[in-house]
Order: sequence, then structure tokens, then C-alpha cells
Amino acid sequence: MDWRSIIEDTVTLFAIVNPISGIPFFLEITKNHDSKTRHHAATTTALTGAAILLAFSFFGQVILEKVFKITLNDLKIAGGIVLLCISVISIIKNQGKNEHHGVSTAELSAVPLAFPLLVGPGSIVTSLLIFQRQPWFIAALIIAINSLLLWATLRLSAPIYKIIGDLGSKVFAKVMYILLAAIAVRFILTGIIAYFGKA
Amino acid sequence: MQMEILQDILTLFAILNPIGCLAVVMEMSAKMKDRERSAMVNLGAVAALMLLAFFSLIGQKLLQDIFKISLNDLMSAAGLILLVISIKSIVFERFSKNELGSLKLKNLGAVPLAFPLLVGPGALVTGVLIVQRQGIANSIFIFITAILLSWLVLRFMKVFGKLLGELGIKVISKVMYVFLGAIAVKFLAAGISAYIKG
Repeated sequence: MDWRSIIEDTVTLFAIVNPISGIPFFLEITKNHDSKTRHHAATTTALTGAAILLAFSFFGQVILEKVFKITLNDLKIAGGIVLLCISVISIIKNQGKNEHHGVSTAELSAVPLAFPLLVGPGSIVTSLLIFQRQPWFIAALIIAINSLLLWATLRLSAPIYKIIGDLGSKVFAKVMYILLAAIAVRFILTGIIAYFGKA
Repeated sequence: MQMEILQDILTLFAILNPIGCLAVVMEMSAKMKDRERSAMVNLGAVAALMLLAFFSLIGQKLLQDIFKISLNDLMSAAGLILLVISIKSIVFERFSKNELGSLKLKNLGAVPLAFPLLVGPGALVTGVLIVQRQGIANSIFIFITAILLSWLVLRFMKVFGKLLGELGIKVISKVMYVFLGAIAVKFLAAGISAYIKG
């Protein structure tokens, strides 16, 4: 068994999934909840991410490209538009009682946090490459390790609250949505540019 | 050709999204007996099929002959509608409280199950697009297969409910909407690029 390549692939996937980038959004959606809900949300995110990567790695590309004829570009643009909408709505709207329009925290931690923000088109391609390089059980193991790391990162983010406080986290949330909007725009633009590159 | 038919079946299935309807249907039919529920699902599926086939065939004829709308126009329009539906379903709930409230009053029956739960505006515009692309015979086949698949999901809703859990159903339905968004982007891009080239 080639330990070095396993570690290399794990680190690559970790860099692409980039759990740290999910912390702000995670803090935002769980800010009014106790630690049990947070625990639950982190688990949902990690499980959804792992499930999506595994499902795609085993039969993803065939279904996407042969049957639906959608490329990862289409997915990138659509995911970008969804993220952009979420961030724009959240910036404009005053955060009132009906904060997330009746969508539960667990749902939000699956879509859009796990997919497409953390596990997006980039991580799907990476895990497909890993599956080509490694035997399937090792590739699956790499994905499992990453999902564990993702879970741990989100779980450990809770103390950040205590440091920045309530007001701090409100300000933080607005700034975070602007960042999210920027990420979304990058998704959309790279998707569109790839379209023109093809033509 | 066969791939295209499969593609259309799955696209239609994604927009019918019976898995997304499960939560609503289960909640509303909680008091029904098993027999009543399966009768409702059967009737609902038949009604959905009639509705879909009727409006898609009429709509396509109308658009093509009277309004002279081309496939590209239709593709762009369908792309826009599907994109908006998918965004709305991801960012907000699929069905708002108001929409659900009006359904609840009438008690869930075959008609609300067929429209608007299964066959909504998105399914209708997809139906018209399929008729335009595949011709009448093929599209009837596509409609029947897609509705049949949805019927299977609804018929065995208890099994799905147990297997996936409430959260699982919601997550799968949302992930499906992200893919629906990607399909919508593809329609939109194909429509627009055909304009530019033509």
C-alpha cells in the first residue's frame, strides 16, 4: 500500500472541500440554537457531503454526461446562482423572526452548506480523479476521512461564538454573506467562461 | 435517440419530484386508511398524466401554430422557469404556507395531488418542450414512464419514509433541485447560443 499517495490525496481533497470556508455559514445558520442542534447540523453536513461524493464517484459522471447531458459547468453556474440568491436575500432582508423562511437548520446544513458550497463541482472532479488513481475502498476511505475532518471542523467552530459575542456574530454574518456572494459570482463566471472556451 | 428519451424521462421525473412531495402527502394523508390512500395515489397519478399530456399537446400546438414560437424560444423560456423554480425550492420551501393552507382546507385528494403538487407549471413547460422535441408518440411514452415512476414512489411512500427519514427526504429533494437548476442552465445556454449562432 502506498501511504504517501493516500496522504497526498486526502490532503488534496481536504484543500478543495476546504471545511474552514464553511465555518461562517455554519455559525450563521446555527446561531440561535443549542449545542445539540449544532451537533446534529454538523453531522448532517458531513454525511450529505460524503454521500454526494461517493454517489458521484461510483456512477456520477455516466449519469450526468450521458443521461442528463449536463456538465460540471452547468452545475457550477446553477450552484452559483443559488448561492448568490441566498446571499443577496439575506443581505437585503432584515433578519426577523422568520429568519430562514421556514427552512430548518438541518436542511440548510445539507443544501446549500454541504452541497454545493463545500462539496461542489471541484470536489466531485477531485474525488473522481482519486477513484481513478486508487482502489475503490481506499478512495472511499479517503472520502470518509475527509467527511470526518469536515465534521470535526464544524464542531470545533462553536467556541468562536463565545469570542466574538452576539453583536459580533451579527456583523460577522453580514460580512460573511458578502463573501458568499463573491464565491457565488466566481462560480457563475468560471462556468460561463468555460462555456465560451468550448465554443 | 434512446439516450435522449431516457434523458427526457429523468428530467420530467426531476421536475415532478415525487420524493419532494412525499413529506407533504404523508402529512396530509396521515389520517387516511391504507386503502383510501392508495386509491388517492392511483387516481392522482392518472389525473396527473391526463393533465400533463392534455396541456402539453394542446400547448405545443398552440405555441407552434398560432404564436409561431420556435424550439429555441421555448428552450430559453423553459430554462428560465425551471431555474426560478429550482432556486425558489432551494432558498425557500417548495410550497409556501399559503399554498399548503389552501390545500389543507379541501383535504388532500386526487386533484391537489395531481395539480399543483406533482404537475405544476415547471412540469407543463417541460412537457411542451418534450412534445416539441420528440414528437407526439415518443412524448406520450415519456409522460407515461415518468408518471409511472412517480406513482411507484408515492405508492410505496411508507417504505421510502422509513428508509430515508424526514430529513433524508428533504435533503434528497433539495439536491435534486440543484440538478434541476443545472438542467435549466443547460436549456438556457443552448437556447441563447442557438440565437447567437443563427
